[in-house]
Amino acid sequence: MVEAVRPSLALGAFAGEAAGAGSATAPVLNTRALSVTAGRRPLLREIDLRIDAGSICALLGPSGVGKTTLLKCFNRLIDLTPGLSLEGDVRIGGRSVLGREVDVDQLRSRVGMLFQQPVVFPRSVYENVLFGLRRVRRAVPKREWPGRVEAVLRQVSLWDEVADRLSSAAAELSVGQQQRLCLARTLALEPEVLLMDEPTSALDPASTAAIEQLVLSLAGRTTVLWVTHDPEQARRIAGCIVHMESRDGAGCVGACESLKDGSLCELGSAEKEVTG
Amino acid sequence: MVSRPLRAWLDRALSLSAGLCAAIAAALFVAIAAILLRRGLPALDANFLFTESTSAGAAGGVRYQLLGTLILMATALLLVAPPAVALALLQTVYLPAAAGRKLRIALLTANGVPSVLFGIFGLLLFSRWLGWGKSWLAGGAVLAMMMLPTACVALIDRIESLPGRYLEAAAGLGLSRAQIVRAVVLPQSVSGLASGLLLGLARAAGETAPILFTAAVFSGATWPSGIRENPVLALPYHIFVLAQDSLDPASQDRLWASAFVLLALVLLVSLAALPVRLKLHQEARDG
Repeated sequence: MVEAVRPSLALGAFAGEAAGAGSATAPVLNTRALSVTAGRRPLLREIDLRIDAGSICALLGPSGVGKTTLLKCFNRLIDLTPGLSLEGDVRIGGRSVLGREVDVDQLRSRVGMLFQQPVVFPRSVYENVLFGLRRVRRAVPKREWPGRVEAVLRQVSLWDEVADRLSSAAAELSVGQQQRLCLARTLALEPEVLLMDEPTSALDPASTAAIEQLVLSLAGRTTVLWVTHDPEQARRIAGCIVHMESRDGAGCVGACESLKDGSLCELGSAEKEVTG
Repeated sequence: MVSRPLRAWLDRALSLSAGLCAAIAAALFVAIAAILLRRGLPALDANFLFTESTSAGAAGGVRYQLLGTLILMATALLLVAPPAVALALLQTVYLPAAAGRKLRIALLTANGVPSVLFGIFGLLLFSRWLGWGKSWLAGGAVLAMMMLPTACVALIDRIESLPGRYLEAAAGLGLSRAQIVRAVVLPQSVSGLASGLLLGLARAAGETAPILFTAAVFSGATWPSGIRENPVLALPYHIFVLAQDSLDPASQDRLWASAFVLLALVLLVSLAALPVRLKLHQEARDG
């Protein structure tokens, strides 16, 4: 699978100088005829999708259907997987993110991502929270760092558990705590879009509940796309559900289900099947 | 299908032959150390390391030979580290995969180049073309060139074994490629670099040919005072000359004692690399 390929830094994927994606408010996500192929093997076929600004949308579908691949198109992490080619367009806040002129680093700092397994760097808890902030948001003065760290750790309900061991190695935390730490690290950058790739699949119920609560609290401010295998979880957290299915060996969107009032997600004009 | 008793027998035979090979390797080292120690013992005392050699090596110790060897090793270490890091990053991060593979092949090939060729190259480049003559810096530079492939390949292996999830997570936060190199790749590859440098150094420390033309003299040199025509004494060259020229029993004692000191020095450097190598193996096992 694509997800198993080791990321490569040797693709020249970090180039670009133009302004990044998104505006100050939560942006709309949409794809137009997005296809991804690995050599001659299609992974995603003509995905047309629109997700409203500020909504929490769950992405449901069987393993291998391309959910993670689709997620990685929004922040161009797909570029790190060698041998893939993309066709079509991906837009965030109305701007294409696939052009050569896009500043991919800036895009990724605004489109945060949480992975299936927590990835803590071999540093302290404090350093992990600051890892992106100190390098990507250089305008934030150093004196504000401790306050920011406390604020995001409180936001993910981790402050009370780690306040007295901020200088301890992050790897000493439990898996659930590590995942919340990763979420805190991402939130420290104040992303406008949050991509979550089965973030609770390896977590205990308490950590799962904490992350779900936090994401619910982001509704309206941050657009969240959450990959899950659990339909119950999707209905708990999401305002809309994108059902992905496999067709001719490639993933595509089968249906877009709005659970709450308003058109929170919809398929593209070519294949519109909004229900709900 | 292989029957269970046969399988057990094959397993035992394989374990036995592996153990035998390990025992032969260990016995070889112990035998060399024992011979050097027994033959060099008459000359080995507390002063041997700290007194100057006299009477064409037939008396005194190896003070300046040891000092010269340490100068060459330190120079080589300082000179090789930056290009080793640069080449490893070039191969793993900046070059396209096909070009990176070619660079790796070139490094592995360079690792097999006989040391005397490095010596001749150093003679032409440093001693003649740059006009340094016999100089500690020329010797250190030649040893650095010799160490470069070992240090570089060790670092490349370390970088390539870094879990891809770290790179992806750092990129996902918006770090640029240069920031990922500084914040993720280099800090987590230090053990590989240290291991490669020390192993390369252990090999280079015992080499005679590269410094024969470029840096070492048999007597007269002490602490270098400049670069041009500032040679050093060195243990490998000292041993080489004593082994060739001297039939005096006193010189022979000092020859074996010097060889034992060199062996101990190389062993110390190799042992210094052991903790980082064990750490790398542990990390490889833990995934």
